[in-house]
Amino acid sequence: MEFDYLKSNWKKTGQGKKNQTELLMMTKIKNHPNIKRMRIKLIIETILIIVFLAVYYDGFDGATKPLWANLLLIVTTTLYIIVRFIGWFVLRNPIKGGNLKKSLIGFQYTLKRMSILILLTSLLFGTAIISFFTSSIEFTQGKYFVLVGMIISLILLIYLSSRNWLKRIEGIKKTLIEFDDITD
Amino acid sequence: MEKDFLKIVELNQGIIYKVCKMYRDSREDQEDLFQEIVLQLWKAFPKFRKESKVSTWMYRIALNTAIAIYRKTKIELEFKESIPKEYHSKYIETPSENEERLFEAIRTLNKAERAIIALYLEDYPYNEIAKITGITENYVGVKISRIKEKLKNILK
Repeated sequence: MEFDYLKSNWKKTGQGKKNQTELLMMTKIKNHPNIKRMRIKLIIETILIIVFLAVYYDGFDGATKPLWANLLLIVTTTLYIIVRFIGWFVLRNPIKGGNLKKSLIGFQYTLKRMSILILLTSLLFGTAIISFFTSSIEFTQGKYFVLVGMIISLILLIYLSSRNWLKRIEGIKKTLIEFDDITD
Repeated sequence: MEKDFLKIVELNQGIIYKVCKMYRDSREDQEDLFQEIVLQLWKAFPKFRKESKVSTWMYRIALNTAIAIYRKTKIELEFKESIPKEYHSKYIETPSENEERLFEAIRTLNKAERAIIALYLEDYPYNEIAKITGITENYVGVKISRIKEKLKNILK
């Protein structure tokens, strides 16, 4: 019977290749190149943004800008950092407990919420930056074109980011449909 | 706790290996996924109360990780000549031809089907497969018949 043959091949597969030392290394994030890279990127981004917040007032004449522009910048920047950290911890833990389907449903829901939060804070942060730097400018036609260019770039970045998120969410959704699809 | 965890994973690492082979094409991606699964198992280990078998717990986490972890599409590089043996990663072992055929066939199935057939080939009864995956026992039977047909056609 062919399937018995497949089963016996299956059972012979992958016996004892790694020792405990190698497995122990895998329990530490510092030994995961991809995860380590993403963590370093997040930390560097956060440090740069905090430095920007610390120096922007003197460096970019915050005193000459309206109060609302300063407040908007501080609040949206802070939210941007907080949401990214939350996103990092949440997305690094895809296992939601229960059976496979329940866990994937839970993770899909998490992805949807995080994607909305991250996209919204990115949009607000970008808007705050543009608002801050343009708030006390005397606009000429040329400067209006530059402003339009900045707004279009921001929208494009948000759009591209949203496509990545959608891809990821749709991937999970597709698998959930595959679990339920009776007609195939 | 660390000692117990390492002992369990070392004894049952074949499960992780099989899931990686099912859900990733290249050896590099399989190694990445292997590491990711071990990390997720380590995170989940403190909550493992041994109400289920170790293998069942490991399959659940491994399959969940393989399906949920996002992988950006990489550009495939094709190497025409074989790499000298001394440059092989120490993780690479040449699988048998039968093993490769089996996993190539399984990779043609969709992600849900791969999970179901893995549990079936591991001799889990239908009710256990239903519990692990979250689908009904009747539907497990229907899916397995269809998957078996698909695999038979591919492996003919």
